[in-house]
Amino acid sequence: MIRTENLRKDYGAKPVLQGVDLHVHAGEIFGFVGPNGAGKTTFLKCLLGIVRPTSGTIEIAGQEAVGQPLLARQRCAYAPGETALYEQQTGIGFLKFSLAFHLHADAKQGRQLMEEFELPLYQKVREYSHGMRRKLLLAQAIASNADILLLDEPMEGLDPEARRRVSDILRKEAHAGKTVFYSSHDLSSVERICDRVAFLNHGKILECASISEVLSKTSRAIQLIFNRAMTLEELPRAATLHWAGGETRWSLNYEGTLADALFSLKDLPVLSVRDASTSLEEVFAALYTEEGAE
Amino acid sequence: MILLRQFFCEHRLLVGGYSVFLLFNTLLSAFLWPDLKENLEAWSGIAKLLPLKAVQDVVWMIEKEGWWAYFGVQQLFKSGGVVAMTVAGLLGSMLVARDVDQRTAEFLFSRPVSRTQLFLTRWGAGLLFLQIPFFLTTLLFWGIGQSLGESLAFSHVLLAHLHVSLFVTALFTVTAWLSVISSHQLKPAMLVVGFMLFQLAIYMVQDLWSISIFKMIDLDHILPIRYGDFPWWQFLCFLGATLASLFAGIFCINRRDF
Repeated sequence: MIRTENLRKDYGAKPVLQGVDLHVHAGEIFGFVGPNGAGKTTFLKCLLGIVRPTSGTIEIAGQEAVGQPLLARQRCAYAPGETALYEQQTGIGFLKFSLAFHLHADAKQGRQLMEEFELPLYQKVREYSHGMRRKLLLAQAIASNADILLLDEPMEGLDPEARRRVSDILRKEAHAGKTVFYSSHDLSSVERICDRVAFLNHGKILECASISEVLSKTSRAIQLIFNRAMTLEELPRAATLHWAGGETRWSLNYEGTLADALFSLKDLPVLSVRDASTSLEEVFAALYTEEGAE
Repeated sequence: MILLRQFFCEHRLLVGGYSVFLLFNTLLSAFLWPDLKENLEAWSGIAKLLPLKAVQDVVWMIEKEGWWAYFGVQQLFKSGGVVAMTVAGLLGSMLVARDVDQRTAEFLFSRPVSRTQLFLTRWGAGLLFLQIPFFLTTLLFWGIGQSLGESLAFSHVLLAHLHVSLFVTALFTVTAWLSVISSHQLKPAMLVVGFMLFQLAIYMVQDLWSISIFKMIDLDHILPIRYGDFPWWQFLCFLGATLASLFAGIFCINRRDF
């Protein structure tokens, strides 16, 4: 659905994107993560033609987008990371304004989303909080009914309940065949929602793979507390299980599934179990430390 | 249509204030005429005492040409040249630079609408908001003149209005182009309005007034229209500046990164 090849963008002498190759499939939720200044927003702006790439190609829904950004914008809906809006407009006024540009927009759905997000329809946007503005931007992007949703930091400033709602909505959109491009710092939400993820730093893709693939490369572990002191001999032995610790506190590194690991503990006096597997956040930190060392 | 509506909503206070100001100026000026006409000799005497040659000339021309010169000064030069010029500078500067300044440009330029269309729609909207009150007050001034027994050929009024309104259009379009390449709305506004105020100051100085841009729309060029002498050269200059700035604006907006 989105394909970029050797996409470069320089601001003067400063390279912001250094040959980004990316392929996002239709119907997937694609996570795009990177630290501040990595080039995430510039990449999104290139897709929409808000900035002109220095070189490289962009294909959106099979159509070359660099020379004809309008075609790209017709297929995409964008919720920018910047929450500055037209302050004089009311919430519903802003929604109508933004949807008026999209041919297949569903104003009714937009209104429903605003109600679902508990946004006051007739309050001026200038009185909206940061989180409310974010929700409004998401509502207009979703209700525009475009094939591709480009979301820049969509969860920033949202409360946990709103995050859960947005996650559900995005999954529904992807299920309905829409492509969701999810650019974020919030790695826990990327891990929870996205099918695949790309790590960007200094304008280069460090890794691009499915979430499960990324996590499978890392160690999986659980921490256990027993209700009495245990010895290594008392603990189940297998080639896939590696124990460390002593007394009542043990750590188990396992291969295979968590269910298999837990099943092996069924006859033990376990008081508590805590997942200690590496999260996306740790993968992210490891990748960037590695790149920094290089 | 949505862009037009949004542009109007964003600038309704400026447009409203400008319209009301023009209306008051027109009504006050027009209804002051009978008194002024009766005391023209006294006014002429007072003007001779002033150190401003420009003002002396205006009073002298009103004495000579009557209502036509008064109409040219009050409606075309003051309302059009000075007031509309200031509003053109302010409104034109807000065309694009305001969105960059207020950080709404990223949202605006991500909409599925071409930049050329966006620029032209806003330019057209700004021009309408600028010209409609000016044109309506010109009609009103002319109408009041008729009711006061001062007849002017409508075609002459239209031609003179066209000349000054093209001056305002050129100024608005130059500001619009500067707005496309600016990152702060105040920069083009201050540049254009500051430049025009400087030109107005020059116009008031006897030895320098011939090089002021306001010389192109003053009574020396408006009065002869009545005698079939239209200021074509100046008119073509305004038209050229308008078209050049319009194309420059379209070119720049399509090349700029937001």
